[in-house]
Parts: sequence; C-alpha cells; structure tokens
Amino acid sequence: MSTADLAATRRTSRLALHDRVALVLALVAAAGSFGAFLSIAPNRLADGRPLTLWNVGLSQTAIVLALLVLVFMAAFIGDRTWRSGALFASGAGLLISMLLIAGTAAAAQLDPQEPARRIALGSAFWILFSVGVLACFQGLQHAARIWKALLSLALAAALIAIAASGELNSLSLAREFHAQRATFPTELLRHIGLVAAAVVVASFCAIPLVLAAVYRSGARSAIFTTLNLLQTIPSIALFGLLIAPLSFVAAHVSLAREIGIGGIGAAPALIALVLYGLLPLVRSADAGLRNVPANVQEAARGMGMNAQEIFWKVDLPLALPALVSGLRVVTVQSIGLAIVAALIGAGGLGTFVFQGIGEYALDLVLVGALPTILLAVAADALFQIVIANVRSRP
Amino acid sequence: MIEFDAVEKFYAGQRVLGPLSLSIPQGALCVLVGPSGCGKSTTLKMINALITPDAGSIRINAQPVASHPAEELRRGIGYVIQSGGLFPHWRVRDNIATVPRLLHWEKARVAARINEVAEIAAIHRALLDRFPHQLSGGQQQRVGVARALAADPDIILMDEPFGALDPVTRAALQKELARLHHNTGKTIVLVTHDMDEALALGTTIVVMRKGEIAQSGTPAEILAAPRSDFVRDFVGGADAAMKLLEFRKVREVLRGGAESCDHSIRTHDTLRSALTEMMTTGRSILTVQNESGAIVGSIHVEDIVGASKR
Repeated sequence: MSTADLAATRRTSRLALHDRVALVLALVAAAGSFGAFLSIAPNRLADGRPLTLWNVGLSQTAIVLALLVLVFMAAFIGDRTWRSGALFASGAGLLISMLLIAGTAAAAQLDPQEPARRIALGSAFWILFSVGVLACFQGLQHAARIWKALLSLALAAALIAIAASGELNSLSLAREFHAQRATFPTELLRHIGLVAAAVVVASFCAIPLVLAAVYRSGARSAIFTTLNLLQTIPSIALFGLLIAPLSFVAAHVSLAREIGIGGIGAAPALIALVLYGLLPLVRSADAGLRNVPANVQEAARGMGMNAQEIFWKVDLPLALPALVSGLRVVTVQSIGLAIVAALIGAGGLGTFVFQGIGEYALDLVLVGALPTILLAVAADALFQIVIANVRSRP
Repeated sequence: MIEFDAVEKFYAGQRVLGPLSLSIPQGALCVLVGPSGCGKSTTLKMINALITPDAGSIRINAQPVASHPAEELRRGIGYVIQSGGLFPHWRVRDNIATVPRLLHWEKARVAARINEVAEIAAIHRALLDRFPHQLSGGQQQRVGVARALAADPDIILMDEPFGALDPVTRAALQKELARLHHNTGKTIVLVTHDMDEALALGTTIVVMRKGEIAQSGTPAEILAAPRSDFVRDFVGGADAAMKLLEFRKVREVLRGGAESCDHSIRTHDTLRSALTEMMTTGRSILTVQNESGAIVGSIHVEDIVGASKR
C-alpha cells in the first residue's frame, strides 16, 4: 500500500462531516421538537394548552427519535448515493409520521363532553414537517431527473392518501376545511382562473411593450420607468386606487356593467395583477432578446435574413428560456398576490384567509394559505421542467 | 468583378472612408489589410450592403449593389465572420443549410448539399448533428466556411475569419482556404490585420490606412516596392526582404552554363528555399534543374541577395 493509499484510508475512516445542511436540519428539528406539537383549546376563541411530541406516546417518540438520528447520521455518510438515500428516506419518514402521529394524537384528545374542543397543529409539527420537506429536497438534489419526478410524485401521493383517508379528521384544520368543503372547490378554481387570466392578459400586453423596448431605443427608458413605478405601489393601495375609476366606468357605460366590470370584484383584481405582472415579463423578455450575441445577429443579416426572419428564427428561439422564466416569476407572484384580491370581492383562496383573520381562526387562514403555497410550488416546479426542456432542446 | 467607384462613408459628419476606388478581378483572393480602424471591415461590409456608402457606387459584375434588395443580394454572397457567428440553437447541419433554406431549396437538394460542402470544408460527418458549442474553435470556423459555401456563391466575404484561432489551427485553415480558392476559382475578399496572413493568402493585397488605400498590388509588388514608410513598416521593415524571397522563383536569377555542383535545386523553387539549401549545405552555388531533371544552369548567393534588394 502506498502512502497516498494509506492517507486516503485514514481520511475516509475518520468521522467527517459531509453534509452541513443535513446537520443543521437535524439540530433545528431536535430543538423544535420541544415546542407544542398540538394545541388543545376548549373552543375556537380560547387559548390552547400545549401537548409536546414527547408526551404523545412511547412508540411515537421512538419513531421520531429514530428518524432524527437518521438525519443526523446522514450528515456524516461519505458516499453520496447512500447519504442522499438516507436523507430522502428520513425526510419522507418524517413527513408521513408527522401526519399520522398528529392525526392519531388529535383523535385521542377528542372529548365527547367538550364538542367545541379544537385541536390545532403546533410549532413542533410545522418545524419537523418543514425539516422533512427540506431533507427530501436535499436528498433528491443529485438524483437523475426521472428519479426526482418519480419519488416526489410517490411521496405527494402518499401524503394526499393519508389526508384523504380521514386519519386527520380530528384536527381543527381538517374541521375548518370540512366546514368550507362546499365553497373550497369554487374558490380554488376562481383563484386559478384569476391567476391564469392575469398571466395570459399580461403576456399579451407585454408583447408590444417588449417590442418597443427592444427595437425602438427611445421608448425603452419610458417603459421601464413606468413599470418600475407601478411595481412600487403597494398591492392593497392599487386595489383601492382602481375602485374609483372602475365604479365610474360601471356607472356610465352600461355594457361594462353588463360584462361584470365594477369598482369591486374580478375586474379590478385582474387589472392589478396584470399591472404587477408586466414588469417581470417585460424585463426578462427584454434581457433575453438583447442578450442575443451581436455576431450571431450580424451573421443572420449577412446570410440574407430579413427583419422578420431574424426575429422568428434567431432572436425569439434564443430568448425563449428567458421568456419562460419571466412567465414563471409572474405566475408564482400572481398566485400569492391573488390572495389580496379577496379584499375587494374577487374571491379566490384569499376569502378563507381574510375570513379566518376576521374570526380569529388561524386554522381557517391555513385553509386558504396552504393550498396557495402548494399551488405556487407546483407552478414553479412545472415551469422549471419547461425551462430545462427549452434549454436542452434549443 | 467587384468595383468600388469613389466610395465614401461618413460618421457624425466626419469622413471615415474614401474616396475609395478599387477593382477586384474575378477569381482573385483579395486581402484587405491594415491596422484597426482603417476602414477595411467597412469596405468589406459595403459589398453585401450591410453598410451603405454615403457617396459613390459599388458594382458587382457591372450591376450596382444598390439596385438589388439587400436580402436577395446577401443570399448570393457567402459571408464568414470572426468566431464563426454560428446560430447556437441550430445543429451544424442546420447552420450549413441556412442560405439554401432561405432560398427555399427542396429538402433532398439541401441534404445533398450539406454533405457536399461538409466534405469541401473537411467537416467530419459525425459533427453534423452536434451543436456549435460542442465544437472547437477551428471546427466552428470550418462550419462558418461551409455555411458560406452552401448556396455556391461566386463571391465569398470573410471578416477576420481566423482572428480568434490559435496559431496552429490558423495556419492549417489558411492552407485549406488557399486550396479551396485554387480548386473553386471563387472570388474571395478577406479582411485581416495580420500582414503575414495577407502575404500567405492573397493574390491581391490592399493595404489600408485611415480610410484610404495606402497601396494595392500583388504580394511581391508590395514587398519589393512599398510606396510609403507606412507600408514599409506595416509589411515588416527590414524583414520584408526575407519575405520577398518567398515570392521570387529560382528561374528569375538563373545563370546559364552548367557549373557542376553536388547540390541542386529546381527552377520553380522559391529563392527562399534556395537560400535555405545554401545555408544548410554550406555552398554558395547550387546547380539548377528544370522540371524534368535536366541541368539548366546555376544559382549564386550574390544573385539572391541582389534580388531581395529590388
């Protein structure tokens, strides 16, 4: 054995930290697990009494402890494949066990004597659940694209199956959701519809602005100054600002009134979302089109392409990844902003959020907020897949 | 035949080019050479109307350039730029097919032509389905040349085509360009700032300075009789005498009478190789043979020295 081999053996045989993120996750989870896992309140308004994870039951404690130790140990595994596998397994285990433990523990806390009792999820649940999500991401980081897709889908299916099985029905979040089940699909669809309409309208409005910014040098600074200014208006203020002019239009133009334009409702919400969407769209398309290399454009001209041919065959395909990433930013941003639209009667998932705030029912807020987060994450993932494909097949 | 007639170009009221008159004969490999900012690229780009002159006219085969729609004109002229300028989102195959497709050739004809020019430009078949970023600089430049040749234009314009390549690749591609020019007889106009490249490639050299022609002629003419100090310095000052030997043949300074000597050289060899032969063998006189090997006379070192002075 050469000295180099010996050195290598010594290096690998010694305990070494290979994944700082896993270590941090394990420590955060360990610290967070001492907080309230469930909060049990006699009714919706009263403050809850905390129940920690370590008081739920012996077998539950053992499972969570084992999973946390696995995350901790994963940080010290040298082989990347094994480390990733251990992280994903422990992350997925945390997600599933958190749901199941919370569901059974909540069911055990139900008391027929106290029908108004609310059992809400506490900080320990959210911290450990988040650690589970992050451990899964970290574990999948180096996996092939197909494995990433398959494992995430399988995990998502498992979590949805648990939620659908009724295991979680004792939790106040599930009860709030249950109470809203009649309106939830409508509001979800309204939310998605509002976002989709805003992205489509903003894209069409962006086209002339982009063309002017890129190909008419004089218009560029005026366009960007205006769009930047729009972006600085707080969203609630913009919704408010639109009420007066749109009420005026609705009052004086009967056609506008008939198609649903008014000071409140979907019209001002759509207009505001479109206005906010313009800057990211125009900025990314502008960057994409202006970054087409000068020598490529010169070659296109020198080959005898006319202005239209250069745009369609050279500029647009080369700018496509930038265009799609602009769409991604606008979609994710609109999904979040559309929450506020509920304030002016446009509906959507924001309805639950504001109703929950008004009723001091945090679980009802979550009924609106959690699906919004999931929508944003899903849209983001979808666009990432599209961008990766646009890049690899130019 | 490409003719420039009193062509001028102004930028912000300043004349940056001309008045420039120049005629490039059919089949020439004309090199426009000069320091940066001398107007050589501007001159080149006026031929395919990428830049329009402010005064004067340019004619190709007696047809004024301005009388054609610019796109139509450019599709009939090959164009090669520095670092290839290949379309990064198209495979090599599609890059080569650019102009034939703009001209709406039939699919089968385009496919056949891609293979043809790939062979001419020495591009391996396996490279045709790659993307430009997967090729080396030299390979990219070959594709640039193949793309320019694709629609079989009579004229090819090359703007610093070898400027971004390493010396070894550059020399190889220069050699291939010379061969291509010799085999096809196309008119090639090439821009470079490298005088050695101009001397190695050009059948005609146009030395430019500050938007004007400092001197034009064959490499030998410019080396033997630089018209100004600028041209003399640009062609390499004292070194020009050595370079000139490259363009003179043994037969030009041949002495009659058969002086017998055990080292010989042929009539069509350059004076430079004669001098090299003398230096390696230590002789001051060599026997000269004609192409069929018969002794036709001798060459003396003092005649070579004399030739380099003219």
